[in-house]
Amino acid sequence: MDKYKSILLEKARTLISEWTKNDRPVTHREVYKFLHSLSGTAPTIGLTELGASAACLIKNVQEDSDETWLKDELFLFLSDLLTILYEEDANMAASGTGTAAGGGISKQLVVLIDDDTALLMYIKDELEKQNYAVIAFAEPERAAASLFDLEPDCIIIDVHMHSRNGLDVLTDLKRQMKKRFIPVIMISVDSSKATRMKSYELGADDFIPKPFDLDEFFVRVKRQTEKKRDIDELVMIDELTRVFNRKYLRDSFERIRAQIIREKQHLSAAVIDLDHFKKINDKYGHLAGDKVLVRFADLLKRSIRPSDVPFRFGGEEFLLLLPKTEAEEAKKVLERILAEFSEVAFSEGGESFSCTFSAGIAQFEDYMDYHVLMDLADSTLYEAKKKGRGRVLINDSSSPARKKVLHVGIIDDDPIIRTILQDLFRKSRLSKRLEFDIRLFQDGMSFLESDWYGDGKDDEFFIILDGVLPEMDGIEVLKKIRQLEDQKRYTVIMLTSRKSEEDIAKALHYGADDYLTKPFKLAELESRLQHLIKRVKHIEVPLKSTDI
Amino acid sequence: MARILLAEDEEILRMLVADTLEEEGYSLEEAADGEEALKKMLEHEYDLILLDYMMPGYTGLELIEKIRKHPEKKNAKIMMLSAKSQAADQERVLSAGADYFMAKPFSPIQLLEKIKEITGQDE
Repeated sequence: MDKYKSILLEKARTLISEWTKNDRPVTHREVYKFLHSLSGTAPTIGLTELGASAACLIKNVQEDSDETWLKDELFLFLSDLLTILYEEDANMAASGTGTAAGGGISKQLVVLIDDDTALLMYIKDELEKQNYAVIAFAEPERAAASLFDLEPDCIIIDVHMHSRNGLDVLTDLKRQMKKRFIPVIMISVDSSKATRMKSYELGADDFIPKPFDLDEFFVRVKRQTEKKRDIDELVMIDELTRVFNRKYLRDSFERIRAQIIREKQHLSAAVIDLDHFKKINDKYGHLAGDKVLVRFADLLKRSIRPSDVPFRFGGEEFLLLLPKTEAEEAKKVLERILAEFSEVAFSEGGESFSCTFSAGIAQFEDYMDYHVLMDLADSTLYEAKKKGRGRVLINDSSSPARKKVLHVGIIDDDPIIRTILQDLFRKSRLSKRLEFDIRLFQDGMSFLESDWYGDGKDDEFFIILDGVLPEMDGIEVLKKIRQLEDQKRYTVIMLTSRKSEEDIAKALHYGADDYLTKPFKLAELESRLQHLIKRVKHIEVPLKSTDI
Repeated sequence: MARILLAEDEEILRMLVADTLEEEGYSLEEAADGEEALKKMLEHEYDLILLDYMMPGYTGLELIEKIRKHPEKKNAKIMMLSAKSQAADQERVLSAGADYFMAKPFSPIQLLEKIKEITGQDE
């Protein structure tokens, strides 16, 4: 069936390409013909989803009409179909290389740090075939900044890098990760006893000499990630702050909910987020940040009643469940804690600083389930942040929930890709807390000339950048982005051509946060975005609701 | 072995049916539009004619009409391939002069089975 599929996909692509490039408007009649053909042929050769989509769309097209579509409207109308076409293309390409099917948000994340870009690409590719999500860094400095936020399941570091010795990276990592268990594997051309001993002494979980046998490599990585998975599952307490972690949250909530309904009691939920925490980490280091978290958690535990349950949600966010408590009372409790916490003087490197938090409280009503209650508390938290931070607010149903805006820039000369990606973000389940402001650009110049990406000091940007662009190529655009102020606000994912290893190496070298080879599966992109979004401020990516 | 004419404007379907039938030993000729189909039908004898309902040039129904006008072709066996699969459409096709009906999308196996049934009857 494959040869028929290729031909059909090729024909469809060619036709759509013509419609794209031609100035001439497209008539209903032509669209009808295309859809009719597709709905008849596609299912016969096994492309059932494509056929179904065409059959569905055709109902809205007039067979005999010469009325025309505006290009943008046409592509919008066809967007589902285009997405499927694209996916099928990606499937066909993948079936040649035996890539594992499907994305999925629960893939384990491996971070690779090696300045040998050729090897980096190779390992990344191979690990992805084994169904891991992989983020690769060619520059150890960039890696260090992101590691915490990414929360990888395994880190692989090359010992011999030009700008920084891998063992130094390991030392830093271990120091910062004191209480967190993330397995680290060192890889090295030099497998002398001295290097091996040093690695183990510094805390590496494994040491693999280069060149290595791929099969053995996979097994050793798997061992580490499985160990991590097992540990994660056993532990219900957050290692650092010693309050419950989010895995325990769902069970705990359901139990409490059942109890308060049975005994006709009140329940309040408070979502707490430390203010400007990322700034503290950046300025004073992650060690200082951890001290702040620990101090806050201690204070919290001391100030609540035995029936109140504190959780750490990850990063700098906490949740407090207060059974038998109404919102007003919960507010008083938290305000007392806030007053005490803001008085604490932390000191690091001779400088002294303090910290506050913002909190949103929602009171449970019978009709609510877990998600409704959390969403309410969450949006109240955002209100508190917007109103200036350092305060505790109770849910006021008159104020609308306002979400943080993530600016998404899609730079690609192919309007089909632009449409598909725009659609992906619009329909996305990537984050409950984010609203996407999506802008499309057909080339590098129009992006750079717009003033869209320079707005606002707090704004965060995700840029999806095609490597091959007319006039100014993708790498040039990447370089320009990396020259902007406040680099960390810009996350860049490059779309590269499968054939060009040199381009991929360049992308990594010039600072792309990730790359995807075209044609890619949308589920794969979604999975990458899921991981990268974790680095955006104040954002927690929700696990699948069955996991919480 | 049986001689079959396939009149279908979709290149991919032509290829698919051709591959399927030729593997089974049938001798297949193809036409990509109504005019070519009519020409071939008049010039040659076929055991079975597969006609697409909608083609550039003549539609399937028009072709049947034209063919049935020739006395020596009156008995040619015709199977209509059509995306319209309602019972009413089927009836219309059959009463217009087609002998068999196959709804699109069909699986190649389905088609093959039906053809075997039809052409097997004569042997």
